[in-house]
Amino acid sequence: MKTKNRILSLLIMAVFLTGIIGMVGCTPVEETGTPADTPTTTDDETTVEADPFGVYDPPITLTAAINEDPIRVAPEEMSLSDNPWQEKFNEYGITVEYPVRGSNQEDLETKINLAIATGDLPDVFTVTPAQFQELLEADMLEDLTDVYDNYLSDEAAIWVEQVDPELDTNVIVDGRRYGLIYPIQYDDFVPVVSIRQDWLDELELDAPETVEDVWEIARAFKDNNMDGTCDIGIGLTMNLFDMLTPSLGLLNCYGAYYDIWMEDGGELINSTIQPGMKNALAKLRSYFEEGLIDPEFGSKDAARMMEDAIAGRSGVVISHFIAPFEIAPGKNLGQEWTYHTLVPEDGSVTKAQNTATFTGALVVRKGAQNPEAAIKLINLFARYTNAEPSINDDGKINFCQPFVFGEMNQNPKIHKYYMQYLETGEHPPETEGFSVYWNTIEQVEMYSVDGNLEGYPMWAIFGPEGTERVVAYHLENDGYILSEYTGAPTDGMSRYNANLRSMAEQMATYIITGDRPVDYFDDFVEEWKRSGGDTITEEVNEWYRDQ
Amino acid sequence: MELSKEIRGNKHMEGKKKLKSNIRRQKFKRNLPLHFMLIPGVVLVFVYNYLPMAGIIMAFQDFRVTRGIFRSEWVGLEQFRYLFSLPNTSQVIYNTVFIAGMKIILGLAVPIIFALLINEIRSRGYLRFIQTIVYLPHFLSWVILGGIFVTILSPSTGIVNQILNWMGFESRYFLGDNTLFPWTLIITDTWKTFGYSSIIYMAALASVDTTLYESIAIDGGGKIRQLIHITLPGIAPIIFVMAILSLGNILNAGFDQVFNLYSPRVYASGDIIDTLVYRLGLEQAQYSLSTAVGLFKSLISFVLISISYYLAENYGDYQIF
Repeated sequence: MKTKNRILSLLIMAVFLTGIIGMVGCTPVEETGTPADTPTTTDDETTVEADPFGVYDPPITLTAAINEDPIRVAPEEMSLSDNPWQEKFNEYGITVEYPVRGSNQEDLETKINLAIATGDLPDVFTVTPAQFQELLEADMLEDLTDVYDNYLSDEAAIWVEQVDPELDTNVIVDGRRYGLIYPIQYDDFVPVVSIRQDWLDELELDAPETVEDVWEIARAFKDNNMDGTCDIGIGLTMNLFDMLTPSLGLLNCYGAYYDIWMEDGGELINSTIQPGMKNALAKLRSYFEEGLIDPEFGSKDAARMMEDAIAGRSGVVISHFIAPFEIAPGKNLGQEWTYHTLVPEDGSVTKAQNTATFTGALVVRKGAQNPEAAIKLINLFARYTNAEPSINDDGKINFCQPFVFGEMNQNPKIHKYYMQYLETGEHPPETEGFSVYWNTIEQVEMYSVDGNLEGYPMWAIFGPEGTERVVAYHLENDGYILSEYTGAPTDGMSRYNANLRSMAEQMATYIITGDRPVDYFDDFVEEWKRSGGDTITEEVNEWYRDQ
Repeated sequence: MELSKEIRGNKHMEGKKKLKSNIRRQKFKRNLPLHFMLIPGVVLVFVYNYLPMAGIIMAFQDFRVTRGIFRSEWVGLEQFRYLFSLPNTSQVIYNTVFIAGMKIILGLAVPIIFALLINEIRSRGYLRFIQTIVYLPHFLSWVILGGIFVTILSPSTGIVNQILNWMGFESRYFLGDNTLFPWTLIITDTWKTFGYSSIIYMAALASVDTTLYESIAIDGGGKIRQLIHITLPGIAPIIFVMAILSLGNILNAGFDQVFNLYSPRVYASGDIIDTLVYRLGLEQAQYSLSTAVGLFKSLISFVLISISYYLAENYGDYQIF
């Protein structure tokens, strides 16, 4: 759960920054909003024709499920029944109601499970792969093929078609479409090395070029006991294979990947049990022996690791692009941090491992009165997300949407435009000017122009020396690796994966800390195969042959 | 209980059978209002404790929410087979029994000793002070205590290891060492609970007849003799009850605590049934597996409680019911 929440909060951070992705909501205030003046421009017949922006007359009500978690970024006076999005929907004759509400993603999943069990489903909602499978088998999903073909606007199609066609096959059964896959954005998820620049200057060291330099800097900081407080080289966290942890970043840098499926001689193989993993762990083990890895990582989570950095106990932190937000308290204490790319020893590119598998889909309840309304909402999002309803007067992002389909990976784009602006003095053309850009730049310049520390994290992300620079490097150099397997979790996965994960975490911890010899890895591989790994490999390859 | 004693007393008197049934009828009549007052409680227990027991059948199904209890596929003992097919299940069960067992033993012994000691304190103000101090940890959740213990048990900066160093010992990694970790769990748990659990023994001590102490004093018995012959027999029934009740917890090693303190490094010695199932269930909502584990734990507890109750009745001459 810890992991899940952490990744979730990062995702929400990403939402906060870009205003896109995820299913999000806002303050639940029970009141029936007075329907805004509905422009009645169409007569009864026009709704029969498939018009992507057709206005409903009389207005219809669409029920939906919503995750209320991002409430903290919603302005106080806003409610689910009274907000700019709802007004926009009303203009088109759609009133969205939210009978199913979760206080966070996990809770929403439970609530939807409950709704499934009681048969009390909303019209539009999002499901996990497992829920999708169950609903499909129980024939509770509306066939969206026709409404998708007829109602999707051209603008919205650009968004929806960002999804890998291979992933899309998960929701297309016998040629019929039963849902829309959420586009997954992962561009931002690369390892970022944060280094204490003031210490670097004090020791007259250069910024790191490769991972080897990163270790050298950590060694220098620790050996010189910087500020009299530095006693940790590089911190790790207890769950070594969690996304965006220093350990996973380092393993990726050394060419080892956790639990992704890679092609090898026409077969798919699991990355966890490859010799590369053994070598990478042996590498970390040697640094642990030298004392460069925090010996207490076994009882630390990411928050504690960051505390160590802020407290001056370590000057090298390997984390992710949100790091400046976590480092901001240190900045307030007068620490200087810079952000760097994690480059392998041979100067090539670290392939950051990411998951772009089937994690969720938007579906419509079988028997819903207006299944096309779901598609129409996507059309509205495509048309208006970069316009008024998505940002409020006070610059906060409006999350009162039953689901959010949007343009992916806006952060790298914002960074790119801002760099262009710094060079040429010209902001992106008005047609491309998405409101989040202005919102972001305002905060960036709060620091770079006015020197207000409140804007520091945004500056350290989007500014010229920011973490987005690292992301841009990965984007330019193909610094990502994805699993070749894009299907839903197999039976074997849901059965054995949790246990295989525990086994792998245990093995990796033992090898790094020296509790067991490096060759223990070979025993682990055998154990992994016996404990369901072989079953999963078979299932995955069966899927692969069908592709 | 009184009724049954009375009936037992009349057991061999065949001639009084009629009288016995008369007495029973009279008693029932007299207690009728009390029986009515019981109804709401019985209904509540029936609705919330007995009816949900039907859900146990989920343990033998491959439960799917869309199909519900009645249409989910029957898989027999598959869930149990799966649980026991995992490579580390036997280790996990051992960990659970060891940690829970030690917690039960210390959870009985420490509060009793503490209650006996504190019972000798005569200054009321001091007594209150001590009591408040030792009750306090009981009210803190393991989420908070987890964070505190990670800090104070840290090998480099933790106060515990600094004291050890000062006394000339080496630093120990209490939360990362497989031999120390279970004991860390046991001792911190005992520390958290002993004060609060001592309340019941203090109440029992207060009810021991004080004239008995006077008479043993007259007979020349010292403090130790008072303890062995008066105090301990006096609170023995309560000790039996507590022991019997706590035996049901032999497979509950304390999820909150372990979850907040463990890490992959100490899975070998600290992973318990509840945390294992938590991790297994995390991947997907595996209701059937959780139910199966719950049923397994309940069965073991039921057997243990029955045995201990039988022993208490026959050898300790003590009955709860």
